[in-house]
Amino acid sequence: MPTRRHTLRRGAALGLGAGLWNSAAFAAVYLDIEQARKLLLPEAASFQSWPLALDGAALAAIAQDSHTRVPPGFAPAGWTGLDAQGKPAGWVLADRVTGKYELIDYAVGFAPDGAITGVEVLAYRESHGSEIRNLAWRRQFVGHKGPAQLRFGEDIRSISGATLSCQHVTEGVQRLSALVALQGPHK
Amino acid sequence: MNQKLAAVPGALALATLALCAPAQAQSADAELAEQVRQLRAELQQVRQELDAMKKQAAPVASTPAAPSWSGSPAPAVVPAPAAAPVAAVAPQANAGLSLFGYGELSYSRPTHDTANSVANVGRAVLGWGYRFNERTRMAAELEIENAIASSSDSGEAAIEQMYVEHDLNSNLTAKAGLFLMPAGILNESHEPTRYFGVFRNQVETAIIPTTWRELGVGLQGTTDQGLRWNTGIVTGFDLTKWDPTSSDGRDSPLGSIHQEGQLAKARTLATYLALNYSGIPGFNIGGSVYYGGAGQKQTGFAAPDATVTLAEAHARWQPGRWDLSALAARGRFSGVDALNATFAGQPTPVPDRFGGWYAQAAYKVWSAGEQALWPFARYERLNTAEGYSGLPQGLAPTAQPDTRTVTIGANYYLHPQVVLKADYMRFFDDSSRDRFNLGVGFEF
Repeated sequence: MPTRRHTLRRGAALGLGAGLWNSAAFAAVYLDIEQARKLLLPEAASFQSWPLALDGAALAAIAQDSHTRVPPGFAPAGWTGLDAQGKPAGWVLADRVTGKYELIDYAVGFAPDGAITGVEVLAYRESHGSEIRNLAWRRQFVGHKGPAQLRFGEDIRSISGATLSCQHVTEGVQRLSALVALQGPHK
Repeated sequence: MNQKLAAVPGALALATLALCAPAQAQSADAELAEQVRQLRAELQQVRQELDAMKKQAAPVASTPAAPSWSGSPAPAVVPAPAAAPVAAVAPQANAGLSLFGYGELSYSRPTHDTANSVANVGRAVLGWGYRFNERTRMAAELEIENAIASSSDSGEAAIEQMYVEHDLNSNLTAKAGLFLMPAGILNESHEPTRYFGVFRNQVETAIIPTTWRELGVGLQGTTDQGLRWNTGIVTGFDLTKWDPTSSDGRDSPLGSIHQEGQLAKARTLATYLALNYSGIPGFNIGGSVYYGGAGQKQTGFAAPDATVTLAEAHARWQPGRWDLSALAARGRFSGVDALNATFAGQPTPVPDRFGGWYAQAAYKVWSAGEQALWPFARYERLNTAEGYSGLPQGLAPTAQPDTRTVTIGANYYLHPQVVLKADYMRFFDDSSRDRFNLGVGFEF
C-alpha cells in the first residue's frame, strides 16, 4: 500500500512540477482534490459527492466534540469513496483553515471505521510554517479516530516556528473528524 | 429539482395545445382540467423551492472566504491550467486582506531595589497582509514600544517588517523588503505566546538582537524531508552609531548599532545563510551565519572596513509534555582596532567577541481544554564583551565576568494565543538585578 501511495505521490509531484512551473498563476498548490482523493483512499475506484448537513445544531455539535471554535465560512466538502464493487471504501473531506494569516487548503481521508487514512495539503499561501507539508508531520494523524485522539501538542506534535499552522490544521482535522463521527455514512 | 423545472415548460406547452384543440368529449375535458390543476400545483411547488434556494444561497455568497469546492480540478476563478487550487475564493474587495498582531505588558520588581519597579506596555503590534494573487503577497507590522512614542517619551514607533513575497515554485519563495533575519529560535517567532518567561531570553536579546530585521532580498527553500534553508543579501550594521560613553553597546553590541531600515547606510551589504531541519515532529535543529560590513566605508571614520560576524546553533525538542530547547550564539567584530584606539579611556569600546548560550526546560503540568500551565526553568550564560583589540594594556576596560542567570517561572495559557506569565530572575554575578516579573501577552 505505501509503495502505491508513494508512486502516486511521486507521479503527482512530477506532473505538478512540470505543469506548474510555467503556469500563469498558482499558490503553493501541491495537489488538486482528485489527486488528493486518490492518495487518501487508494482503494476507492470512484468517488461520489457526500452532501453534508451543516445547520446550526450540527456546527454546535462539531464545536463541542472537537473543543474548537468553528470558523466563519466553515464549509467542508465531502466525498464517499466506492471500491470496485461499489461498496464504501471510506470518505474524504476537504476544508481550509487560516495558518498565521493566510488560508491553507487541505483534505483528510477517513477509513470506513472513521480512522484517518491521511492528511494532504492542497495549497499553502505563506512562507512561514510551510513545514506542515512534511510527510512526517502529516503522518502523525494516520490511524487516529475522533477528535479526542487528535490533541494538539500531545497526539499531534508541533513544528517549532510553525506553531499556528500546525495548531490550526490540527483543529481543522479535529472538526472534520467530529463531523465524520456525527454524520458519517457509517452511522 | 432541475428535472422538475425542465419539465414545466414542456408540460405547459402540451397543456396549451390541448386547451386550444376543439372540444371532443366531456371526459377528455375533465382529464385536461385535472392535468392543468396538477401542473399548476407542481409549478407552485417548484416556485416555493426556488425561493427557498435563493434565501439559502444569499448568506453563503456573502461569507468572506467561503470556499467553493469542486469535484473537478478546474474551478473557474483562478487560471491554473495544470492544477488549480481546489478552493477558489470568489474575488471580493477584502478577500486578500488579513490582520494579525500581538501585545505584551509587564510588571517588573527588582527584589533588592523595589523603588525601581516598573509596569509597562512593552509592545503593541498590528500586522497586515495582503494577497495580490495566489503567489504574490505582502506583510507588514507596525509596532509601538513602551506605549507612547513622542519626542518627550522613551517609546518608539517602528515598522517591524514590510516585505513582498513571491512563490517562485511550490518549494522556493523570494522576498524583498524589510524582514526578520532567520537567526535563532525567537527572532522569527517572537510573539509572547511563543516563549517562556515575561521577557525574551537574554541571549536572544543581547547577542542576537531580537527583533532583528534588515532591508534586502531573500530566498527560502523547503524540501519534503523537512529541511528549510534561507539565504539573502541585506543591509548590515552601522558602526558609526557606536557610543563608547554609553552602556548600550555593553547591553547589546548589535542592538546598539542596528539600522532597522531607517535611512540605512548601505555601502556595504551583508549575507546570511540559515538551515533548519524539522523532519521529525516535535524536533527542530538549526543554525545560521551572518556576515557583513559595519564600517560602511565612511570617510573620516576610523573603521571603514569593520565587519560583523554572528553565528548561532539551536535545537528544540518537545517530547510528551516537555519542551526542551538550547541555543548558543557567538559574534565577532573585525577591523575595529583603529576605532578602539580613539576610544581609549572610554567605558565601552567595541568588543572583539561576544556570545552566550542558554538551556531551557518547560513541562506542561496541567491542561484542560484550551488552558494549560507550563512551569519552566532556564539557565543563561553570556558575555557581551570578551576582550578588546586596539587598546593598549591598561587602557582597556576590565573584562567583565560572564552574566549567569537562572529564570524560574510559569506560563499559564488561558488559550493557546493568550498567556499570563510570572517568573523570578536570579543574577548570580549581580544580585542587585534579581527581579520578579509578571506579564500578559496575546497573539492573533
